[in-house]
Amino acid sequence: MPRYTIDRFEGADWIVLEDDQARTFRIPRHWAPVEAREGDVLDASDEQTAPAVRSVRVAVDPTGRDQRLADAKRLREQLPRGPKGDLSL
Amino acid sequence: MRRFRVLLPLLLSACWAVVTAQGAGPLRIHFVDVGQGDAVLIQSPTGQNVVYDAGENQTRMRDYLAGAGVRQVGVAIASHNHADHIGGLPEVLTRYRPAYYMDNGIAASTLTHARVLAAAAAAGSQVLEPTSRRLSLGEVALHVVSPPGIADWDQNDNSIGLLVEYGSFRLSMAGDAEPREWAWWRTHAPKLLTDVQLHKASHHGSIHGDTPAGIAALSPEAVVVSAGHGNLYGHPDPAALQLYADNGARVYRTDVQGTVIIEAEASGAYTVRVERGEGAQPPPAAPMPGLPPPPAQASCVNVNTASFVDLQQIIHLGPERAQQIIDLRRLQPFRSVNDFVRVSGIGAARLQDIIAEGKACVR
Repeated sequence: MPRYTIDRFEGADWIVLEDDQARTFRIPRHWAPVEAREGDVLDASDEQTAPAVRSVRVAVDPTGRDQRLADAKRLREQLPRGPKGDLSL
Repeated sequence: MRRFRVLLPLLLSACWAVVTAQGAGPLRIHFVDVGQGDAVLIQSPTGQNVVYDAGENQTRMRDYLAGAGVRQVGVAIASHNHADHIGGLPEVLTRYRPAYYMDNGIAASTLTHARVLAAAAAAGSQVLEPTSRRLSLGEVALHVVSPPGIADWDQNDNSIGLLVEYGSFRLSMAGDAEPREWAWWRTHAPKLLTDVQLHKASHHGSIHGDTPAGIAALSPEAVVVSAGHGNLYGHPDPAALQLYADNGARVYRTDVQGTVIIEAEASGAYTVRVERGEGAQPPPAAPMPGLPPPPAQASCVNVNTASFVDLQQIIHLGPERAQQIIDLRRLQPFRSVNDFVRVSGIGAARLQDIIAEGKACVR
């Protein structure tokens, strides 16, 4: 099942999505669930709903965002810490 | 004569070393045309380099740095973790292995952000927290304007601001800060965000970027807008351009003029070089000898086989036109890029943009 992550909203009209290869593309805002927010992971599936019609269903993965955020926080915590305060380079 | 040819570069190198050692050169700030996104290179008179954002394209900023002769980057800063600001950072981190990496401390759930963190780890970069602090590059000071750090706010409103100061010269950058963050800064950093000569437009000149109060406090003589040519988001917004005009600021635009380079002296005097259009001048920096050539461009987007997602990498192609191309090529494959005129809404002007961009091809 294809999964996409909401990178950001651009104004009222567009959402920028990231696919599973970190490539971004944009879709109209109204293609996504109204409850979708920045960082959400979306699951997309399509099905034959009529003889010549395939419909795409997009749903927010309720745990996907939090899992990804936890992974990112862990990665950042593993980085070596730099000095605090003012710094001369 | 042959000896002269050999000696001349050595003499020039020696002169350059003297000039840089005395700090006599200008501060250079490059607003790199990376399409829709932000990518800024700060070069101190003493030869230190800082990258503030790297655009969305994975290699364009890295290649620009190589072409400008950059040999080291001391700090790589991600203003915030949206792809149009950090997509190019992994390649910069991998190539230049900066000593320090700074981000806003607000995690993003994208793979792009994970790649940045992985590249910082592989580069051995130490993470700097985005607290209010001064990063000194000789006589140049980079004042970090701390973001709110409120996880419930989106990435834009957690942008790291940067005030660049060199003698009497001051330049402000605020990532994609929107009115909520500008209001927060007005309370928490009012002394930093005052008179500047130049300002980088917040959020690419979006109507949701700079605020009247913020621009009034900064009172810039000029504003640089970093936006992609033909972007679908309408950046810069006419209301933002009017705001800058109402405050008497000249506007430079990467979508129109290409890369914009500021050369500033400690006296506060500065010059602006643009890549294209009226007053265009070639960039002053030349590739340094001994650097490997920039890698070849990634392969083009074949209109007859590219996916729905890949087609949208081409300028002027959004989801509707991408789907239309897929439908059209089923009926008859595209024979050349000129066949783009079969697509609704693609006329001569947009076709010219597509050809000039060089990303689309037909195979």
